[in-house]
Amino acid sequence: MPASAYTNIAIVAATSFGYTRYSEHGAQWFLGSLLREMLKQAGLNKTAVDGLAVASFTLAPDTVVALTEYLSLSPRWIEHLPYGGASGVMALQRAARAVQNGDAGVVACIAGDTHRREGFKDLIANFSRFSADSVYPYGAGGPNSVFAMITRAYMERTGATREDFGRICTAQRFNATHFPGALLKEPLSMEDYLSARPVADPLHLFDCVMPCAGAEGFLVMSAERARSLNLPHARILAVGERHNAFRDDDVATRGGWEMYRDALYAAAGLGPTDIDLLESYDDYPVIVMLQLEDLGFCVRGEAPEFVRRTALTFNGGGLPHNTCGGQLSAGQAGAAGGFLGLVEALRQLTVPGLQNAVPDARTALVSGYGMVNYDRCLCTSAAILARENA
Amino acid sequence: MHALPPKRRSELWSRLIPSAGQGQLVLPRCRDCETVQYPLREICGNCLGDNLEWGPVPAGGKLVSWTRLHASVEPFFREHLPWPVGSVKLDCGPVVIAHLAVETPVPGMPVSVLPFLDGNGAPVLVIVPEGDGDISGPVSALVSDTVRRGQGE
Repeated sequence: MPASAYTNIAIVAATSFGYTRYSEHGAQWFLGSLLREMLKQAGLNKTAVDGLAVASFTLAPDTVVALTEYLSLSPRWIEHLPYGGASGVMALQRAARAVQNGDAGVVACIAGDTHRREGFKDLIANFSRFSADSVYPYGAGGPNSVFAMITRAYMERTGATREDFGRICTAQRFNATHFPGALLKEPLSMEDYLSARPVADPLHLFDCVMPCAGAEGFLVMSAERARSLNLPHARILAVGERHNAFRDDDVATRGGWEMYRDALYAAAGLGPTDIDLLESYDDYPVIVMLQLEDLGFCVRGEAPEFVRRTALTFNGGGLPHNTCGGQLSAGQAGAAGGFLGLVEALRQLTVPGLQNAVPDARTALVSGYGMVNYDRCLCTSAAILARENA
Repeated sequence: MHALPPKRRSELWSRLIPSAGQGQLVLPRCRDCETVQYPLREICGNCLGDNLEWGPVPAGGKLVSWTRLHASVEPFFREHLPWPVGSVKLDCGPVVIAHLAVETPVPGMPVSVLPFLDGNGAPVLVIVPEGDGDISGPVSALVSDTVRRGQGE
């Protein structure tokens, strides 16, 4: 039985907040500041928020309920999403169902993390039991070591070259030069990309995200409420998720998206060629290639050829992709990295006059990938969104 | 003073210590469904039984992929960059990420995975050429003391 439709749901007040390389503030400061800015945008008082969904790594040892006391909120529905790169779409799905079912009226979906100078070591040393036992002791390279091996295996199988990955990274950097919030806005040429220092062969500097501090969020409410508040909003056409998929593959060559892609497009009544912009999860460019394949933009193994013939810039007339620069150029603010693509898609669909506007954007596909527990990420999620009147 | 490799593991890893440096791979296997477990578990990842028995398993497999790390958050590895790491699909089932002590790694090549103690007394898995228990290259810095100690006993 297919999942019931996400009718009558509005997503509003998409907000990015406070991106900075390092911060002495706590996660609570980022999350609270973000919520303040979101409510200001929506013209709502804090008391209207009766649902709260949060993704954060550095909020620990606090949980979402501790945050309700910190921010003096009294929600009747709370959700914690420790799912990293997949958490944005997952928060949206749960919030939408809560509103549909009357369990909450206005759900704030927020993600944010601080970043201290030694913070990255703590995060990767304690990320999961399997990684602490079976990955960290082997070079303590963090996710770079696992994704270097996934990248090499992909190159062996498909013939992808470093230039192919470079096409993704340089296009995103171009997009970032038109997005005020991006941390990395220096133009990046293919020569710059290819001559960067190695990090974990075959990965080099510009294949890797820059950890930073920051926050991303949005509000979910009924379409009636959004209209009564006179708020431009986006709609949900379809959502899918699948976790720990294809466990028997020796190395990640695909993700769970492949399992629900057909159901996702069927529910939306659209196909890949109807998608006006794609916000994929770009922890490493090889994962972008897996999403291009799994989500049907090209067949399996042909993403290198796809990126050779398709412009990925916001205004290039091809497939506008990671239009704010993605994490590779905007920065990876911990769990907020799992919201960044969704928040950018919502801006594209609801905010007029963006410097990086995709012309006449009516539909967007957002996909997430999170939690490198051992040798790959386990969580996948994807959503197809549409402009209010599209 | 030189830095030591990171020591922290979950308590299950102490079960690997007796087989370290003995030229044999010892892992838990499910008595009910025969599944070999890695990463280490207390519950069978296949049938959910808790009837796991530690014992020798075939150490052979194929190299799936590999990398050389040029950056690390641990001082020991920083002193020995670039650090080689690989992943192996063991013939007995699991995929193992381990230190790579193979001079010219090629994906698909046959290799073995063996346990050693590192210079900090922690058990580690090392990928070595098929049928060869010797460790060469950068990884020898990690286990050399242990190997020497083993030979002296």
